[in-house]
Amino acid sequence: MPQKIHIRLAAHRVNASVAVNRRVPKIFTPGQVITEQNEFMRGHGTYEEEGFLKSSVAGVKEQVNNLISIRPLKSRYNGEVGDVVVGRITEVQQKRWKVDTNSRLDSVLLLSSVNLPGGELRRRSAEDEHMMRQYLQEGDLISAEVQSVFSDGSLSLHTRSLKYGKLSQGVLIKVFPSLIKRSKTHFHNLYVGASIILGNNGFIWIYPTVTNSEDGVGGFVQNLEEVVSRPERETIARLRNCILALTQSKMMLFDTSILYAFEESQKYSVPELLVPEAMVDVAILTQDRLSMAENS
Amino acid sequence: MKNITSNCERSFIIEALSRGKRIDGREIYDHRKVNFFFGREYGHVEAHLGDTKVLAQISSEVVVPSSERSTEGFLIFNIDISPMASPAYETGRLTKECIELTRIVERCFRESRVVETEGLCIVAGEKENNLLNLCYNFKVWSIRVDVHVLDHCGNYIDCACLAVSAALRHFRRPDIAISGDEVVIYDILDRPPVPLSLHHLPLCITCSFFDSGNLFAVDPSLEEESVMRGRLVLGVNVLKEICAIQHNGGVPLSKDQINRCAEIAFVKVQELTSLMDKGLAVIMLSVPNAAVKSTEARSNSWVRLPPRRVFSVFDGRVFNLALINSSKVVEACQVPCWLGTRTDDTSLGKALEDIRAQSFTEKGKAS
Amino acid sequence: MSKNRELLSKIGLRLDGRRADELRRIRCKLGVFTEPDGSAYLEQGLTKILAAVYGPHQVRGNRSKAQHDAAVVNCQFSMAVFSTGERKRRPRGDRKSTEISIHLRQALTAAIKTELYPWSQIDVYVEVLHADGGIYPACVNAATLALIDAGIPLKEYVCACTASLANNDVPMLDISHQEEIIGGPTLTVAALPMSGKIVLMEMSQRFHVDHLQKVLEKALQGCRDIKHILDEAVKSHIQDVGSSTGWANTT
Repeated sequence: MPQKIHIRLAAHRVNASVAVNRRVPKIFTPGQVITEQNEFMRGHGTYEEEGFLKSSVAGVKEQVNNLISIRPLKSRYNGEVGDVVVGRITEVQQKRWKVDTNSRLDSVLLLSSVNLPGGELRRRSAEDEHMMRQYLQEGDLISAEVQSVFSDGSLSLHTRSLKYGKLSQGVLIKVFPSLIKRSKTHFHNLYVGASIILGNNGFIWIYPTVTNSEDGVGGFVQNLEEVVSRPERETIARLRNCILALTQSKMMLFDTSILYAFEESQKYSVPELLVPEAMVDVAILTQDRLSMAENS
Repeated sequence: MKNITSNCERSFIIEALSRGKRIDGREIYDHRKVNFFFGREYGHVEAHLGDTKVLAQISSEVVVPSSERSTEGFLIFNIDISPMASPAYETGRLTKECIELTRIVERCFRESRVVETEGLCIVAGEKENNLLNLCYNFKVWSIRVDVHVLDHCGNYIDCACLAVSAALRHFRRPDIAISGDEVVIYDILDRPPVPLSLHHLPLCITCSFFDSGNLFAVDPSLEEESVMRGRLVLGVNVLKEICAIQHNGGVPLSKDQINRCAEIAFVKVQELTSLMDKGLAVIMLSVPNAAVKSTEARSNSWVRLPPRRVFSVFDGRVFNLALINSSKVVEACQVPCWLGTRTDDTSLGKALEDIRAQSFTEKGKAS
Repeated sequence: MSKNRELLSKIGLRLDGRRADELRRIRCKLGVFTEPDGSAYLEQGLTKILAAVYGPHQVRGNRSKAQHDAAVVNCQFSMAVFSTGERKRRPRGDRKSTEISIHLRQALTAAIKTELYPWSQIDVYVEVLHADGGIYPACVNAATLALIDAGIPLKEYVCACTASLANNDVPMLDISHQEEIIGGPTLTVAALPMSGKIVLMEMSQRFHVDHLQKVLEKALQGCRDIKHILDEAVKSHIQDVGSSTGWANTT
């Protein structure tokens, strides 16, 4: 099969930046003094030395009353209670699963915080412990919600809702967690024919929209036999490439931006979307539409 | 397996240091007792720093030089910290400690040009003449220094440098004669071997830092090493030259602290060098250069040591001396020198006289 | 032959035309890779370095390494086989690279606030693409940028610089490969430039103690200069990224 190959010099690399000139907040870098007064409380990304409050990361200042913190523009996922995450099972242990959520420590999914098949509330029996690997095994992807944060910073997850559970057919994209915009819902059924889970931890799951949602089993079934139709798969692929384009230009990801990018990308075929120029073009057009929507 | 120190021991050491005291009764600027044990062969030295023991053994051979540097000899260090010294160490050459020690010893002795490698050249042919067999005819000395950490009771870096320094000074290589294309290497029994020409003699002084860097002590013992937060190793010589610096992490230091350590190091290195001088003076007393040069000594065949061992008890201590031939020359000897204790040269000289007399009377009886 | 050449000419210029107290040109870029949490590319003169940071993440492999009170910092230094004039046989694992890995770890541990991440591990991978003297300092500077890009809390920048002594009198900054060959003592200092604390110092070849003060001061000055250059680069990078994201999630 003939293939188009693009070879370009490093010098001709496309500048992916779509920065718009706006008010730039003050940027702090490690070691920089934030304030000399000591009536402030030190939050994340700051430390105290010789009476000064100093920054320990490069980023912008956030202040809530007396609490000052510096938020880096990029970091590992810092979990908060209620966040939606997508994760991968790395280990099956006694009464718990270990889940890689792009956090600085592996997260924990307790057997007691999943909905087991056959009944909402029942005691976890010894059989359930033996069956754990049947429910979820190493390498499986799940969507879950952060239940609590342990003192050492690791997360405890739960899937006690029908929308969470094992993920079956779809595409996973990993982006930097800071690019996911926090919003009321992270589950979106896009009108273009696919659904998307924007995990707060930077893992994005795109999957064909499920129409029948009456199987209330807490999401441990994986229907791998069902064939996803070609148009659906193309939509998913296009969505994926659009998200990659936005990521490359460091644009925030949320339902509107992804939809805009999807619409703007129609002039390219799906494979063409992976060409750097096309990616920047889509990003710029999306940026324009977003700022237009904002100003109107 | 790491040496674990309990919390109360830890706080005790730090508390003591903050009052300028150390658990083994030393002052903060004191080294532990330094001893040298010279072996029967040239270049075999065991240095003791308190209970830390490091053995250095130097050997030489004639080799073909590398093609890029055909006029330079080799000075090779082979350093081993075996699990024998402490169970904390693994076997193998590429352990962290071993690399660290190797690099500091190499910095001290090779990169600061203690031994002139050009001086180790025997035959340097012209390259133009033998393009084909390159430097086949070239010959240089390869001086190999094997260092073994035998017992690790803290601060093996200083101890290793003491051992290497003393060994380099103690070492003699066989004499050679060049006539035309031929090189004759004389057995050390036929001709007195020659010492290496050394430019200067660096020694390492380790300063350890405790707590947040405000407490400080020279020559940490094993207990102190497990408590210390960082250390600064300074390789210095008596000419007030710095030959190597190594400061690794732990506590950040200010410029003033480093300068202060350098000042201390120079005082310490003078002390240690003069100790070593004394020790070597005793050893070399047994091989007087003047006597070696005399024709009498040369005509006499040198006897392999020891022909007879004579023990002399002096000052409550045993000197073990191997003695010699009719020319009244002490050929070689083995003297355990307690350099930490005060032994002055004159009394040692007297002891040697005694021993000589004793040996000749014995010889007279035998004949 | 090399001995005839002077490190510093009579009019005070070095072989590459710099003055004694001038750094080589530093160019750098943050966020060059997408897979690692942080990455940076740094050129110091002709020395070119890539650095990537993964973590903090769960300790992998040997679990017993994990510490209850601090993160484990793991550094790996490697030199591309084509980075030197003579093709290297092994990119890493020889004594020199292992030593640099150890020293890199020591310098970075002094700056990273490891106490914030118990049971975790931070991996720093550094690759030399072109070696032209001052490899270790360039690696430290690149690794600092990569750590900042990864959003890992640092006490402050950790910068490194070399200094030498020309004509037994004039301290020289930022030694190039050419100057390394000609000889002269080389003092490498890694420091926290804002507080002036020295976290790592090493020296080879000898010079008189009286010179130590001024060579050290020169090296520290170099670290401070480098810090300013890096700071500019970080700020412009943050500004760039921040404008793209529209400073979202910020107030």
